[in-house]
Amino acid sequence: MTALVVPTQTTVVVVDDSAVQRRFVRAAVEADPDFLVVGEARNGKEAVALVAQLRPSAVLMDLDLPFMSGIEAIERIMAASPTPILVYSAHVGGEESANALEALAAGAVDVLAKPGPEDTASLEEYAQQLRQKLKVAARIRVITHPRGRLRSQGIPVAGNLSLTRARVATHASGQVSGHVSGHVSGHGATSKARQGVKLIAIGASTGGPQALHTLLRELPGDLTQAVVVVQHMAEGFIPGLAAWLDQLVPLPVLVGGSGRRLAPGTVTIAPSGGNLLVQDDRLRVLCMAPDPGQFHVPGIDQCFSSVADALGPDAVGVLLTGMGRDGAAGLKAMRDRGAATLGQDEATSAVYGMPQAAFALDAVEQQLPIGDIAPALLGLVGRT
Amino acid sequence: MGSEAVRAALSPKVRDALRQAFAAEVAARLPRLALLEGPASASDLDAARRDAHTLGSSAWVVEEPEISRLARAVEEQLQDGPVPELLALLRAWGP
Repeated sequence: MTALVVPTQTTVVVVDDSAVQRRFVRAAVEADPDFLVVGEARNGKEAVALVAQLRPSAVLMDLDLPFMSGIEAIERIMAASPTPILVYSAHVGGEESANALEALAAGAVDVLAKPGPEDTASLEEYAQQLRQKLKVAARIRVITHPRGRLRSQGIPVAGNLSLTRARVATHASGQVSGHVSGHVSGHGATSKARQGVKLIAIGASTGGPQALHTLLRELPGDLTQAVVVVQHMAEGFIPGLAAWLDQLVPLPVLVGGSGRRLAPGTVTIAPSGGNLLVQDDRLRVLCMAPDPGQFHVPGIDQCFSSVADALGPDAVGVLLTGMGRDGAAGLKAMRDRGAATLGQDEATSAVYGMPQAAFALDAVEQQLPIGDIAPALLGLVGRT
Repeated sequence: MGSEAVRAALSPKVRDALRQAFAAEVAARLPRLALLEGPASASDLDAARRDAHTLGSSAWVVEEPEISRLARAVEEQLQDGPVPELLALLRAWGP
């Protein structure tokens, strides 16, 4: 199970119950000499033990595993031996995208769909995609995730441990209620109330679904402001994100569309495939095709800039965890127009990229742990 | 880091190893899948669903798209799916 570890290599543990898949993934990953597969696990229990023993740079994890599901294994690994986990599974796309969100909520850093009979990609193309994703995932600095630890202590936490399956009738044990306490914060959020705030605009990328859950669950169901969220996410996953959050947070969560208005007391998530722009202070939105060469779609900068133009000081901008710098310039535009702006701090960010870029631009009025952002928002809208 | 070139992931040797692993996986899982040919308990169905899922993914890796397609259909529909067709193709991989 173990191999000689060369310190300069990115070490990987592969978790899959199929010997064929493990052999393929090992070949795919080790085609790049920067990677070394140091262990293979056949089920969730083995994975938890192996990661604790080998402390690899990253884990490649299937979700449909015997004895202990992949989602439970992710929770346990992230509670005991935090490691960047890239999920690759056949059960994360389309009608089953809720599984991808559950995996991300449990602490995985990214998700890649396993190819199936309809895929046109070649094995080599998929192998390359796997390496690219793994390279990014392995660079992410992860922190202890409390869900698994709380669950092991018998404390009810949100989230299913079993897979949701499209069409096949299995489980779906009802949503467990109860809130995980957020990351421990030593700061009290002290935000002065602002008059006339109509919109809270939130941007997020890597690690975003977990952060959004932590933030949005603390916003009350009778909030009078509209909330718009731009989350970087692969095509097809946004409806799953909306459905997943809708189950877990007090406010209704839906996917936005052109010509609609952002409704007060509603979380609207920008759809994939374009940019969601706020047109005016009546909060009508327009979905536009991405800019030529735009890397992140939907774009946070584009949305935030439109909010700055449409609402000026009557909005609050929040930039959460994520790789890169999307959202930093947009948040700066919002701040320059008088909006209150918040950024997630380094300690609680899965990736302190976007919030750091915003901080460096002086776009962030208050930098806060994720657990303090909702109280700060409520303070800003006079709901303390 | 990154000084050596990335090589093709699937050399002929790796492809041979994958096909051998697939044959072994078929041999191990075929008996449970064959239970779908007759009355099956809930636990048999669950095991067959998992086997069909695994073989569906593995078949794609060994470039057997028809097995992959049939296995996915059986995973979703179990006994209402194309069980005889899938079993026939899998038995061709047997010893």
